[in-house]
Amino acid sequence: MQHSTSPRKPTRFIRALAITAVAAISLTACAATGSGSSSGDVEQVLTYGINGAVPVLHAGQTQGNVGITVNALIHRGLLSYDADGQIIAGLAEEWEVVDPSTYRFTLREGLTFQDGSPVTSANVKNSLEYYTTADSGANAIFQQISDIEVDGDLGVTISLSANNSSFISYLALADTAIVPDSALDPEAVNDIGAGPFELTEQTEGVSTIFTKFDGYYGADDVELEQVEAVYYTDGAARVNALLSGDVDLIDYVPWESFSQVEDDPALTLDAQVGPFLMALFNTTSGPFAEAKVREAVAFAINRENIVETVLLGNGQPTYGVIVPEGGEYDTADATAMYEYDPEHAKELLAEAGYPDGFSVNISTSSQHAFLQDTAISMQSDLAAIGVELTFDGSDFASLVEKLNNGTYDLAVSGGVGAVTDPSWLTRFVGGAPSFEHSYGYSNADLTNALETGNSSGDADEVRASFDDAFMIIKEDVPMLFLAQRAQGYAFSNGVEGFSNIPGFTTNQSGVTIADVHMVAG
Amino acid sequence: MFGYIAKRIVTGVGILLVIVTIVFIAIQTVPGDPALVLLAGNGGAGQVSPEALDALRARLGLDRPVLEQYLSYMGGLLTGDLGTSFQLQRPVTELILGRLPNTLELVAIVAVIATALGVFIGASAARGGRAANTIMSLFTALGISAPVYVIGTVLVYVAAVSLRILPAGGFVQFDQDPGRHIQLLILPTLAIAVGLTSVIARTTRSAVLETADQDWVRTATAIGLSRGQVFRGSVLRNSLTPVATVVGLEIGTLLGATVLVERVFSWPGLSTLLIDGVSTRDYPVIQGVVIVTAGLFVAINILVDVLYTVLDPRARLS
Repeated sequence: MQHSTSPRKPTRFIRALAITAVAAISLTACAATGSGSSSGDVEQVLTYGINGAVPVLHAGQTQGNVGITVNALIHRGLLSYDADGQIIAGLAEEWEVVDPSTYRFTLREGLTFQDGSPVTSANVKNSLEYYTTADSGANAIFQQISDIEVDGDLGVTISLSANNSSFISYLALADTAIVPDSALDPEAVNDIGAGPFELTEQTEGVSTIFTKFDGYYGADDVELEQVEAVYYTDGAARVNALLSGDVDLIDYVPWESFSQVEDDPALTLDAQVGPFLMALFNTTSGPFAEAKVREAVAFAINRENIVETVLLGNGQPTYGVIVPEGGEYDTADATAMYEYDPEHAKELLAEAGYPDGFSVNISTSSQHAFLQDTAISMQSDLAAIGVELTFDGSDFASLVEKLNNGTYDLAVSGGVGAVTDPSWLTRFVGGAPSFEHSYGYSNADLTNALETGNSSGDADEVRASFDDAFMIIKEDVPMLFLAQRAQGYAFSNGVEGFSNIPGFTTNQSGVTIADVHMVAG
Repeated sequence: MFGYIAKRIVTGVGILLVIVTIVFIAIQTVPGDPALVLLAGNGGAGQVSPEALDALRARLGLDRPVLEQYLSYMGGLLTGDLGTSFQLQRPVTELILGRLPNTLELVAIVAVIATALGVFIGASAARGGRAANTIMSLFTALGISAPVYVIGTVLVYVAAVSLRILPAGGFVQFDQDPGRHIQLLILPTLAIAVGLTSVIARTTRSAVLETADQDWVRTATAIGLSRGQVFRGSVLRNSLTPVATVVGLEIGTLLGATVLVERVFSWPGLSTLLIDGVSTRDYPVIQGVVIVTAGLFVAINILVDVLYTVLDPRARLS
């Protein structure tokens, strides 16, 4: 049987395929992509590729970096931060430190929440009193508030149970803003504020739209009419969205994309060093109950290697505690406690009774590549001094539980301070079981030194106390700061006015979105 | 027929109940406290006091005995209540109904395109010569072996970043902006369709080659039917049964496995909801998505079985 070998005519099916392809390509040419305009007045709409979905907001709670950013759009506290991380007036136009434990504030006149209700001293009192309750989940520092007096609708005096030089800084944080009374419940949704933007539309899993609030005290200076926060959980997807012009601004630029963004003349990368990587110890049992063993680890870790291989050079190694660069605490005693010296580390191990080393687990989050890779880097560092680390990776929720319950030997995690005063170290060096400090560690001298430094009204005593604290940290090694990582925002040339606030307050950078205006890019 | 379908449905419901129970037990044993994750802010930056933790656990019902939680959940299930998301504080049913159409749309369009293309390519290769077979084998091998996120990333780089003819990702409802919706659908569809098309093409080619050797095909040719008539009536139709099986299985897999594409293209589908639920230990979301996905898988397989009877009269008789 012979079969025909002549060419076959195109079938109807192939014609249909071709028509579909042409239609699809035509559609791509028709619809506009990206935002902004290059002609005439530029639409004041910022499309922000944010790294996750906007959570259900609860007053007082720190709900991740997305929650902090959204709070910075919707809310304002008595104080706020400027682009340089300096504390500026917020809802309070004036404030006075009456004494180290007493602060007086005068609210601006005519303040309203986004639902039209007035912001008065009563709201300030109610909000702050709510933050003193454990149920609120607010920072424990608010529990130092002993009394709040109101004076008319605009005057508020806050008294603390003890002096606290860093208290003012916490009043500038976006999470502990002044909110309507209706939000003062752990189950209430905290999406009405007195900030520059109000939440107007949410599409679950897709985006949240914020519209300029004309009743904001600084509304005259806010040029943006709208911010559309579009969710891009994947870092590469976020960068691609910026590169393709789908969005104007993104946060959490992956380190591997830093050079790609920097090389693009249409984009700006604004990276600041702030959050840190840390090693935590289970000090209740095993080798890490010994301070000398912990000190050995401090000298065994090659922090430069972590910065180069894990952070791709986008960070800086930390050999002590983290203090503002160039500030009064930026001394060798604080920042140069250790160095990379494996031989000295072996000597310390031998002195501690482990001349041949030992084997333990190193726990971390495999959900975050930078934490996992840091643990892997430490594996080889500690193997060189005879300490065999068995890798124990899990997702972040599991790691948090292990750190809280002490079911680990050595762990790698990340964190960020809240304020620049060294008192921020307090929650990382002791307290109730927490995922933020070594399990079981407690040192009354260290805690007292930090508290005295925080509460004393005498400058010399403050300095001496923090110096004592640094000395104790150096010798007792409650935990180890390994490196600070760069946190990057990137935006198109059509965005002006945005700033990545330096240091720990990088997470508060959302406050500068109120300063943004769109230009022809 | 109806008796057969009813029996399959009853069996399917039983399977679902077993799945729900297994998942419920499994997530209770996995480390990670939903209340701690909520208060820790998903990024470890939250302040967590023991009192706040206990109060939140009580509000979420996590302080009740596990058996009580299970019975309460199963009771809700009987009334169609899948619970309330710990994280999003919305009914899970509502969340799933918001995401499911996005995943179904993606999967349905991929299935249609991949099936049509795959059958066409496979059948053409089977009828073509050695060159056609070699080319098809090469491209389908590439399509099957290349990970979907690699294909997706390449597509984004070429079409969105370099050529800027399509957006890099995102989502908008069809009724809000049909043009933009279709634009956003193109790249994720292509990314998934490449692999599925390759699988279907290979299955079709094998099935066509096997069927072409059968007696009834020779008979049809011998009695003078045209080549096209023989192919359509005797070869292709009889080759589609294994193809239907593969398509059914692949679609079922796709329903729960589009997470990489959803992440790369920021497409708000069911898979991402599940993964986020697992990360945050959002038990009601995890259970709800698993039930719905498993239910769809069971339903699709019942449909495939019914489709057999349409394609193959012998299946009707048996």
